[in-house]
Amino acid sequence: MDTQNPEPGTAKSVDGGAVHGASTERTRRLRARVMKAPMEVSLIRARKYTEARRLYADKPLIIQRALALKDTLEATPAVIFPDELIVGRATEKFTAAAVYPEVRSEWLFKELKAMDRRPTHKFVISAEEAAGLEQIAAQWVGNTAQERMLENLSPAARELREKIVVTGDGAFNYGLHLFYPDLKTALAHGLNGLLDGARRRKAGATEQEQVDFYTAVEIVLAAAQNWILAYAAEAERQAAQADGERSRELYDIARVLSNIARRPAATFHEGLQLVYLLHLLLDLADGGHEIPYGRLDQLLFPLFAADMESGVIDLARARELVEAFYIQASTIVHFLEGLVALGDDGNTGRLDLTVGGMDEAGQDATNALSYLFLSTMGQLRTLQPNVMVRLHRDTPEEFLDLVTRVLTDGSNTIAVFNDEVIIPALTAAGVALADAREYLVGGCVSPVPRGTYGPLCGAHVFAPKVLERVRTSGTSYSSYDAFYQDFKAELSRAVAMLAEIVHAGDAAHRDLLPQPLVSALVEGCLERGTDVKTGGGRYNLTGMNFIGFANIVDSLAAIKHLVFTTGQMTLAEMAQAVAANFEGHEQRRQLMLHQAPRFGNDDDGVDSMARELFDFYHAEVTQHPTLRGGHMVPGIIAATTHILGGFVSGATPDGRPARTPLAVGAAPSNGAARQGPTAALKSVTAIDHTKGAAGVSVNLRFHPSALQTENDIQKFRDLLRTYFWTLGGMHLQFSVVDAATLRAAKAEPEKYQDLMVRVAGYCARFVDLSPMTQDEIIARSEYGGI
Amino acid sequence: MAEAIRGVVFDIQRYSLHDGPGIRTTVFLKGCPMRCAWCENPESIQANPQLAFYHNRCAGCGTCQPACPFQAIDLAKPERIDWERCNNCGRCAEACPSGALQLIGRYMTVEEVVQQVRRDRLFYEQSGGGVTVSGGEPTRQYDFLAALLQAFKGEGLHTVLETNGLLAWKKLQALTRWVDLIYLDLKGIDPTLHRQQTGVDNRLILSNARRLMAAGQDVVFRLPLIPGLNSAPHQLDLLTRFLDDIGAREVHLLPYHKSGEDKLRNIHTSQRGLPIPAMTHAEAERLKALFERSGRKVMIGGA
Repeated sequence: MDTQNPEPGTAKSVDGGAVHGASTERTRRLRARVMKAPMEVSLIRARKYTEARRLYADKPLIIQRALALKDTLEATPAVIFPDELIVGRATEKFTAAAVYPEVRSEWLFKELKAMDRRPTHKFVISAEEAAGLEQIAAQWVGNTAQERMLENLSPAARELREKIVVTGDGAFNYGLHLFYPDLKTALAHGLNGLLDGARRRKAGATEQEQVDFYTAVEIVLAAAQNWILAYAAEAERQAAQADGERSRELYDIARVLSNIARRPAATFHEGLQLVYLLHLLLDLADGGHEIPYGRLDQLLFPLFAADMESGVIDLARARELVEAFYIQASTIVHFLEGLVALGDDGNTGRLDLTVGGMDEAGQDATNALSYLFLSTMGQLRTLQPNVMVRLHRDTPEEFLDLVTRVLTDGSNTIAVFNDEVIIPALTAAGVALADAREYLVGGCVSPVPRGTYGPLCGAHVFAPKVLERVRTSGTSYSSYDAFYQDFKAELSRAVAMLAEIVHAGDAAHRDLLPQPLVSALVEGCLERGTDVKTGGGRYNLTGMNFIGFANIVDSLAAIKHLVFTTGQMTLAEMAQAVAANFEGHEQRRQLMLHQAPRFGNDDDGVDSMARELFDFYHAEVTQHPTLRGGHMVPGIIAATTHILGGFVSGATPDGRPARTPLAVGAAPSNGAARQGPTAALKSVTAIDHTKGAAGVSVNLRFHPSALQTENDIQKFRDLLRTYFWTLGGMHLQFSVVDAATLRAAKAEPEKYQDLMVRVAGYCARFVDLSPMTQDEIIARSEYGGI
Repeated sequence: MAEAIRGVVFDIQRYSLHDGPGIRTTVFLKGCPMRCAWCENPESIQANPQLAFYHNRCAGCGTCQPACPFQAIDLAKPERIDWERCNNCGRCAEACPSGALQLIGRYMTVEEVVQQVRRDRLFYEQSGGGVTVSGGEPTRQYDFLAALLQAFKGEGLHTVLETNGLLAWKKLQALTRWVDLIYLDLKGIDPTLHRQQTGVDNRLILSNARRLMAAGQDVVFRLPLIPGLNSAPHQLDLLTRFLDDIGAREVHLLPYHKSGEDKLRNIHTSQRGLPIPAMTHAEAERLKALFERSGRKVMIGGA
């Protein structure tokens, strides 16, 4: 395909069956190495933070933690590996995660023994390291932030948490991850500028708490400078030992590092390097596995344009730098507890880079870097960063064209976001227009307005569990409405309990985990002299995510239709079938699957139930404040929490068996959408997306055969346009499925009812095809060269 | 009254990619006078609704058996249905909880079809798409088809009619006022072979093709290419000469594939699969070159 055609001189490598375009041999080598590297852990941070409790016991907590970070950085050697252009690691190893025992520690005991049995995220940890970690963990038992949160819960909230009806524990994996790093100020004023600002404000501070806060900020910023300078020294040391081109390159790298250790970034290379190092530092300090990079096309464009203008770089060099940055970003991993890892299956850190969209004045801001970041990801296909593309009505056609191509070329690497919906959603949640327009995307799909500190995707309501509580309450219902009223009351209660859990979590963070480095880089904290965890940021929203949305809508529709409309079964009979996980009740399950109307088919009846339900959920969620001075906002997003949520949930009245995945985000249940993508998108937008400020995510899945010709791609682009500009959809993630999925679809057709394929001049649902044709299409996609 | 007319529709497919410009909904009408051995929609041939059994969806629950008034269901038989007894009433399909038994084709009014088609209007507007009526052979339900097309035009929709052209010129001509684009199938020029392979004479089709072009109608010619049946060099030579002669500007080549074949086991039919392999892409590309002359637009597959 055209988009696969690399520029002349492009090196290609083949791994995992896919062909990847690297623009240089160096990139190809770097990429090959990072794809092969095992995931390890580093003990340095855990050790230093543990020691700091004893060493600095007499100091205020915020200073104790600042010194812990300083000691960690001083103890972590600078490591630069062959071929690297963008350098830096948060640990002493090639691909390793730091450990954050002060947040939660008890899981380490269990996890370290069962590392082999983890279904995903398998880390390589030596016996010696495991023993060391256990020792460290033991010292934190009883003193972690998570335990503090649990101590403060009411019995009712504790019960719902233990039964996994709700969870707010996203705030403990590890930091309050989602925030809007103010890299703009860091790039423009440099670390010296930030440090001067903190010192100046400290001089004018009157309260001891503020003085301590500024002192802590000074400590961490100075430590960061020294750490970067240590990298500069290492680059220089290697340069002296290297030959020719690499030696010259390492001297360049050393100059880049010593400049950005103190001064504003002066070149595109310096800008990328500074952004990358600040990200590593934030990660090491806070531990959030979803710290976003933000709008790098906007932030770095002035440097890029000046370099191009003066001839310091050409486009090929810029591309190689971006590739080096992507590969370096892919070395960042996070060591998560097993169940949490299942919720982040296959991705140990969603580090989002946002491109495109409008500027704070509402004008199109797409620039040459938007194209460069996007096309490089389309070809290089690294695990990180996640490229998130903002679109609006005035997005240039040429950019939309590139976006469509990358979306449809089978790389499945990008997601698209609609400014026209997200900005009103954010302003409706109380965000100023300019800050809303500057939103970045964080986590899996959350829009994060400028000036924000808040976990927009860390708290979840596992709605099937809520429904189960009503269904099994023993109450008999004379009408659907009576049943639905009880469900809403139970949902309202779950939301209130989750708010309590989130408050307890926020309080634990505030009291035990102040965060001076993050505070230095979130707008508002330095002005106020207040830590982010205490509400120093300008926006302090917290997301409450509805998990299993389509399963609930379908279940309610099945109850309404089969029990109260047609009378094909009683509520008791339905409960019996569901409780037995449908064993011995296959006929009833088939009725649920095939006779009840389902969300995703442009059915006005079910779709209006979906809309009403989300409106209700929105009203419930937004009435709860956050401890940091903001309020809760609803979302329907998933990552792979739907797999986790499904794993812990029993069967549901939509015919879904126990322990199987729930519907993804706001998308229809797997197999429910039988009228094709237009109908599915209409159903999905029956929900008001402007009420989902924490994100409303929608996934579509196509077979490559539905995107073979130029015409097909144009039609897909029009599908996207209609979904965004006319129907008001917020987000779209689009996957083009591979042969492995098709084989799975063949083996378990009922899970893949919505999988569209192009057969020969027409589209069909894959599961409707005979084994013979299915085999033919499987073979085609393997040889077809998407 | 248009509302009173009902037709037999066997599918309404949304986001139909290869039946005309833009995003389209294709309405498939049941019934066809031809009996092409390569037919990819064998379930569309019979004019009336007919029962189909999808083995892989059957849960074996047996709910269907008592529902059948004619004792036509035998759970011991892999094909389930005794076609001698079955009269396609569809009671078993109504009873089946899993959709393994289905009645293909249902009677719909014009308004019912229009309501369905209207649902994707926003997508048509964005993409320059619209509605396509296909089959079977849609002109077999002439009055219903005419009422449908008229209603679509009344809605301001772009319309494509996909037809084999086997109807009186006056009747075809009358339809063109509501049709923006005709997809006309041509299965061959040699009248003897055509009769052998499709069961009908092609003289009317060829003269209709000529007259449509002469009348300035937008027509895309769709040519199924079946190795060993209608794709020998002299047959293709006749085809290209005919297309040149009438001034055909756009051609879609539809290389033979086997995907219609496995539908045969789900329905009651005397059609059997063809003992020939699907046409390779390379072969289709080679044939494509034969049709590309005098600025004609030729593509493999539809669009």
